[in-house]
Amino acid sequence: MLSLLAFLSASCGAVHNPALDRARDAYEKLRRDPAVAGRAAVALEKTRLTLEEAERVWAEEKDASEVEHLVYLTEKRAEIALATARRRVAADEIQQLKPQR
Amino acid sequence: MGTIFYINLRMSPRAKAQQRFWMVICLIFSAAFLSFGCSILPLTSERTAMPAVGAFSKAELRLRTAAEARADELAPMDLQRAKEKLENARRAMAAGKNTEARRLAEAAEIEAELAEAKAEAEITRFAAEYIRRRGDVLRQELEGDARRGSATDTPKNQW
Repeated sequence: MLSLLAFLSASCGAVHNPALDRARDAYEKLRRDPAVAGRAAVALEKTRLTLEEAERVWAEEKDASEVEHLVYLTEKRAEIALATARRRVAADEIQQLKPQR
Repeated sequence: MGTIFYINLRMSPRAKAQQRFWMVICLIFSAAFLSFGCSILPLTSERTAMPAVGAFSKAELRLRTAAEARADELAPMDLQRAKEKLENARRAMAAGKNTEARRLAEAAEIEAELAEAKAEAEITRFAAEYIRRRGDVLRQELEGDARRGSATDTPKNQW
């Protein structure tokens, strides 16, 4: 009986959420991109925190709709990090062009 | 339950002690149950209990800063999505759907933040392109001047 309960609780704890995988992939892709990691560290950190919140809600509450919402926020945060990195690239270019004027 | 809490005066001291023992056990379990219930409540509803009003004001503020960053010209699609989500959040709030309203307001805020980030990136990219082109024009002018100068200088040098 106890082993059955342990098995059930373990299997419940390991329920897979594909949306979370999507968010993890988006974050990992950004984290491994040196252009983003070096130029948009704060935006990347915000992405990580939102992903962690999604993982916590899934682990503790199993609220699928809230997790889906947090995954959406994580993906948007990842896009913000990309835009921030692009802005920094352009700003660096301005800095390099200035002495040539 | 009534038999547990009813203390008969004619009962033997042993029976009275037993009853008191069960009363104490019941009280302990009730207190434990209540405190467990109270402690677990914030865990399950930490995010969902967040007032939607705060999410609304944040979204409205972010929409204003995005508009100031010229997101309406440089990231119109994202800004439009943000506005639509805020509008839908207002409708959900009016219908008493608080969780949906909070999620939509948070979505509106993040869409507006993305619009702002894209607009700022575009502005900086335009500035870099402008400086690069101006630099190219200046360089071409200087090179042209130098060529003209060397063309007029050459006969003098020959003399």
